[in-house]
Amino acid sequence: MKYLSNRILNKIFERFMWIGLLVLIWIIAVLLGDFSPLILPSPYKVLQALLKGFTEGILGKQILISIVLVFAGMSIGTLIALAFLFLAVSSRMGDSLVTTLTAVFHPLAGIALLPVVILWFGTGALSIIFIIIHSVVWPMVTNLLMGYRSIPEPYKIVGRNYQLSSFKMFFNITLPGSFPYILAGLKISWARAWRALISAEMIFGAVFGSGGVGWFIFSKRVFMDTPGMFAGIVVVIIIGVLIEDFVFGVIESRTVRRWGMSL
Amino acid sequence: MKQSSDILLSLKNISKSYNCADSDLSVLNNFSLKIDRGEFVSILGPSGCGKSTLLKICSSMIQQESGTVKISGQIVNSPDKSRVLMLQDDNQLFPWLTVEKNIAFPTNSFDSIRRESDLPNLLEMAGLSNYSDYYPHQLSGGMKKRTALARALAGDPEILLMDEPFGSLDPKIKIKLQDFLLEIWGKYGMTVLFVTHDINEAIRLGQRIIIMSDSGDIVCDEKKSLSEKSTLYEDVFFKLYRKYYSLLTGIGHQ
Ligand SMILES: Nc1ncnc2c1ncn2[C@@H]1O[C@H](COP(=O)(O)OP(=O)(O)O)[C@@H](O)[C@H]1O
Ligand SMILES: [Mg+2]
Repeated sequence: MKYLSNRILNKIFERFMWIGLLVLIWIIAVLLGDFSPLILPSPYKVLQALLKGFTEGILGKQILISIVLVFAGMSIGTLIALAFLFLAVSSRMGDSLVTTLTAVFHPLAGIALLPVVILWFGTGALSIIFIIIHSVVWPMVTNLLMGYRSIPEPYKIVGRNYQLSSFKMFFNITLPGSFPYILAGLKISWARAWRALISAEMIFGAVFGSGGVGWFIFSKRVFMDTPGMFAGIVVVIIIGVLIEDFVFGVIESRTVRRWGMSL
Repeated sequence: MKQSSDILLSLKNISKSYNCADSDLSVLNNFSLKIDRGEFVSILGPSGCGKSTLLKICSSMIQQESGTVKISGQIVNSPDKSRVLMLQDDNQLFPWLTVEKNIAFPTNSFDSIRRESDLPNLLEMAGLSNYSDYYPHQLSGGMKKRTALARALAGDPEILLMDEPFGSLDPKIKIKLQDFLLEIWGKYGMTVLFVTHDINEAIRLGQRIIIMSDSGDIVCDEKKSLSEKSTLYEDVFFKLYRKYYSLLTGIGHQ
């Protein structure tokens, strides 16, 4: 336990050190370079804009909407990926179908789908979720399949020896046995989903009345509120780092690292 | 002559081949074998002669093309917990379970938990009481083997099918594990089929020794003519060793 928390504390410290350095460079650039505040505002101005976003604006609500959207999209995407996994492992035709679908759609950037998605689903939350699902499903399927195929034969033999039901086989052996790949899939999916979400929000505007963080950034552009735009970017970065380092970091150290199963 | 009721495992006219590339590789051909309840049988044979295949068929992990496998006179076709296969593989423990949970795995998998109360005993007997919370990757090779052995015992099997279980260990740990195995065999009295390519090990452990040829046939099947107390250093032991050595390699005469 001590080892674990030390590791995470170290990580936090290093993160802050480098971020501090970047901010320092930023401050120096603002002080030395004679930039118009419309081009490069000072960190202080950005911080002010950030606080203003919470107090006078609805940034809190917008963050919540973004997180709910990305969570919904990732959950549905993961379920669809699981369904594809079952299809792929249950028959040879299913396998070739899923492999082909992945080969066709994985390289397709979500943004390229936007015009068609707007035609089909309009410009609401549904379209955003669709884009997120698209960005999540394919890397997730790829990783789930790799994980499933990488489960060592001995684990399955032990399961068969004790006559596990398919249900127990799945939850006691398949799932933990392929967990390193599942986790890798979730991490990649998260990164893609978060990016897709922010882009989509900028284009679809004020879903649920207020829009998400992406819309916050975009609407600041309309008023040439550069500190506001930067504040939005900072929020996007902070959420990204928090999820990556802490949510996934903690899951990783409690599972695959503890089990000696890191990829 | 043994009464048929003493026979626990009986293989009759088993044939098994594998599809390799374009040709069929025949591994076992009309193979028959009877094992009595409570016997400790060592199986020796050159690499590739079909020892692992034999154990997999005994545990119904793979299917033979012809012939029957019977347990107590009943034909069996699918794996069950009374015949536990211990693979040669070093990584048969579940990395996501602690030592204790790994050992408890069989008792968690079915309802007739006869040995659950034995878990602390099993841990202690395997010398793992202080390591119950460790994960497999934190264990030494010998500890992993003991954990795997304790797990195999936890389900209270009638027959243990062990495939070169101590192959990769250094001699000192190997001897310790052999003693451990003999001790639990004495205590639980289960039937053991022990595959090894180590002649010393086969003689040390088995009451009965079976030697397979390259073609998968039995070329020697005899009760060990040694007293329990014989050690590795006695003459009788060397006589047996030389005999099995020449049978296995074709070098020297009996
Ligand atoms: N799944 C398989 N597919 C094809 N050939 C196999 C397979 N398993 C084993 N064999 C072959 O069958 C022969 C016997 O294998 P095995 O039973 O593992 O021998 P042993 O355990 O005595 O070394 C070997 O030649 C091996 O290459
Ligand atoms: Mg083998």
